[in-house]
Amino acid sequence: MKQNATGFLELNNLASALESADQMLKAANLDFIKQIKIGPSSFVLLIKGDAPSVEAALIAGEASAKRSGSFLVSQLVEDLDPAVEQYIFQEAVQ
Amino acid sequence: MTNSICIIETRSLALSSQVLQQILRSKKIDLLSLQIPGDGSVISFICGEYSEIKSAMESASAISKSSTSYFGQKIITKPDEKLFDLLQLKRSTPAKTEVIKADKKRISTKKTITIDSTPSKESVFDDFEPIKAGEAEIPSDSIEQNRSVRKSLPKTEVKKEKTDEAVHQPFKGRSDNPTIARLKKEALGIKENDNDLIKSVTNVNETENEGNGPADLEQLKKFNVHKLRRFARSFNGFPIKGREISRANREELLNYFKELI
Repeated sequence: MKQNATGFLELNNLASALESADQMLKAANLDFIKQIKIGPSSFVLLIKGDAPSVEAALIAGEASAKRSGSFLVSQLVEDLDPAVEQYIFQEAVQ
Repeated sequence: MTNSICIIETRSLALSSQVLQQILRSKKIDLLSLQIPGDGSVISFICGEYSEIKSAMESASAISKSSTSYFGQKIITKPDEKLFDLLQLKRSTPAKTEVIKADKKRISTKKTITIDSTPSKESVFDDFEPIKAGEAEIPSDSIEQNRSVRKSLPKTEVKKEKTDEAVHQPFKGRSDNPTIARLKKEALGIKENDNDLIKSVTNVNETENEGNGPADLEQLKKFNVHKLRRFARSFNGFPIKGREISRANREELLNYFKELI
């Protein structure tokens, strides 16, 4: 299936972020997952895949983050602009 | 025409990407840069025509209202050239698709350059064709050259070959020497008649082994210890072997032969 969806899950705790990442990977078949630290206590989990998988993963990750009280934002973006994607993934690689 | 830039600051990467997704739907707006300083904020710079940016930001602010994260934006019309240097931005960016295409081209040219600069192993053997057995044609010149080389070989080399043969087979020439053969017979105590006896016994033994016939014990009794040992070594299926034969005396050897025959 075409990979056209990008998911963002922001948390304020690294341990919770890792737990959520585990839950997301278990919930759906994802081909790409990265963690970006955007602030002193702000972590973003970036996932990529087909829209249903990303949505399922985000739901699982959000539930896990809410249980630990570290949830900030979750967002699903379909067909992300290539320029934005390039910048974001560049940051993710760094 | 890029006559204005816009700076968008959010506290969420998710919100920032969502807003940019909405803004960049307009073909007349380009993304200059997206920076994550590390203090929790995400700053993005866009450029384009003022009217386009203005309308895009209105839709973006509508999206940001649904989020609890901070959203700030500022449009600068006709920015000074030095401002680009201050913000470390590119002065003009080509269209998005063109940027991607250019990157792809760059990668492909790099690949071709590396292939050209380093010749592959296959290219080294391109000129060679495998020769099948029986199809190989040996040029007549090379045969003539080999013959001439053989003719021109010095005699010392021929002598060397002979000496090598002598090293590998040291007793080949000596056995033919009649004096050495005579001395050998004397050492073993063999007479001409005894030799005939051994031959006859061995023949009998061979026939015995082949056809299980009886061997002549009387002839064996005439042998001395040396002959018996020698015969025992050549006898197939003799109960003792090697050192045991050399240690055994005449009577013991005869007893073994009696048992066998």
